Amino acid sequence: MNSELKRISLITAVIFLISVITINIHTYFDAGKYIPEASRSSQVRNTNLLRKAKLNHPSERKHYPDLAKKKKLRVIAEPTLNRVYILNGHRVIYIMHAKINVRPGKLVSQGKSGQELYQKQGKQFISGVNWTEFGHHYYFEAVVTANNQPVKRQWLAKATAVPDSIQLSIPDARWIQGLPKNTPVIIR
Amino acid sequence: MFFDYFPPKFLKELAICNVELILVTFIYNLLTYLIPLVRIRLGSAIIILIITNLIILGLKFTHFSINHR
Repeated sequence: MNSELKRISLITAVIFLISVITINIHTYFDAGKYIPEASRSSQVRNTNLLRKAKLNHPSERKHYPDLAKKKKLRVIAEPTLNRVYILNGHRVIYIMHAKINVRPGKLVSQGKSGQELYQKQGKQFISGVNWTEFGHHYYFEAVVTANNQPVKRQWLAKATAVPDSIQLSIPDARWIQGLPKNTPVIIR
Repeated sequence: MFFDYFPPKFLKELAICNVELILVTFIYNLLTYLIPLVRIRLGSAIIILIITNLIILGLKFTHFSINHR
């Protein structure tokens, strides 16, 4: 390697390091992107694994954790970020893309779930799958049709607002059916 | 005149460094799956690449100008 190439490589390495450090400091200190209930490192790790929100895909590029084996489960829904965080203690174990149409409050899961859910909202007729009840008649669900029109794959950008529900992708909604009864669900 | 400031040999070395930078960014992004560091998205990676090239070209231009005064 000649001396000029070494010099250019060194400058490149220094610029890359400075960029990476700046990006990390800026992101870690940006409080608007995080929830205070969980450690930032676990949130960053799970955010790195997030995909684009698609109706037929899980939100993250990893296997779903086994909810039955977790002792200190909590679910936190953050409407401003369109995300639902699944926490075990102070660590985030999964993040889901979500459209949240529930008023802020502290609720609990009811341990009730099912395959299909039909709702009539004025003139709109909405059908969802993989529903899970929490609180009093609030649901996690995956909305698949609205007025007999199938919901688009990029559902989060133009989600049909279904009141008293948290809309998830189909695989996420199926997985959250395993949420144990009386798990706290906090809507911020 | 362009090749007076930036000889072909220098441009070749700059291209090699660009490839190195892309590889390092890719390896860093793989590492973020294990360590809680922030992933570099495509937009940020392109901006880093552009800034790096501008700085190196700027330094070379300045170095050439000073030596040929």
